[in-house]
Amino acid sequence: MPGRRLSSLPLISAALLAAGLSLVFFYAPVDADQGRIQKIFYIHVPMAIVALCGFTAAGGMAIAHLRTRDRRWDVRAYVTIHLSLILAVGVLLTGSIWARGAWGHWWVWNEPALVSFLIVFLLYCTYQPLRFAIEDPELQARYASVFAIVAGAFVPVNFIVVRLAQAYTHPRVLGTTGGNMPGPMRLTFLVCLAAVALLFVTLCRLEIATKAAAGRVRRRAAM
Amino acid sequence: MNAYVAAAYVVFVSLIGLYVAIMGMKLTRIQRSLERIEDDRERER
Repeated sequence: MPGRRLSSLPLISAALLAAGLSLVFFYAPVDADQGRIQKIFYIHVPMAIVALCGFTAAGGMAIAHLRTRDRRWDVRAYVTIHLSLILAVGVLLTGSIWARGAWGHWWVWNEPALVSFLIVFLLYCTYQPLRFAIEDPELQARYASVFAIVAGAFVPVNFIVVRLAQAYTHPRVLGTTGGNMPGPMRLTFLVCLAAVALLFVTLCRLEIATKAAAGRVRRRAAM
Repeated sequence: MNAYVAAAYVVFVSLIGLYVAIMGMKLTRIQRSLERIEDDRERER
């Protein structure tokens, strides 16, 4: 059953991603204020949302690991953080490209949304060195879980603090007004968000399956 | 403007492509290791 799910998930993800990209380039209207460059929004924001949710979810998985001592939760947390970091690289790169096109600068240091995301990214960059600096597998999993919980709690706090900041250039997407997006833009954004989220789940499952296969090979070799 | 949009989407596709390629290489390596272990077992028998 997991094998079948693993083989159908990539197809659904690819189809949803293709639908999302088609909507971006052939359906969503060109933004009256920013022009065509606003189309970066449909990939930049979903990646940011999924990456931040991934970091927070990894904290939940780490709690499950510490509570149950089940190593599978630690592997799930590790893979979730790994993939969230990859998406975070994408967020920083696409954000910089967008900033260059829209504001004329690759990076703006006085913008809380940008700097806070960079802080979160750099924080999680220390996860793997911390993890692999510990040789004992039990201790490694436990310390990595503690890190994932503390850092996972920091992510929503950081998000709220940035939202409360007064001066900003970076637009707010999620709010009570729905970001003032017209219907076609909102639909395109939601499809892209679902596509990136499903792609994330698919890649997580792929990496977890790869890790499980590698573990089985190691055990067989040791027999 | 179009160049910036293209660059952003190329970054996204490249990141995902690179990740899938690395995972594919890992899976190929695991497959080879598994075949080697099974061959060794066969020879031992």
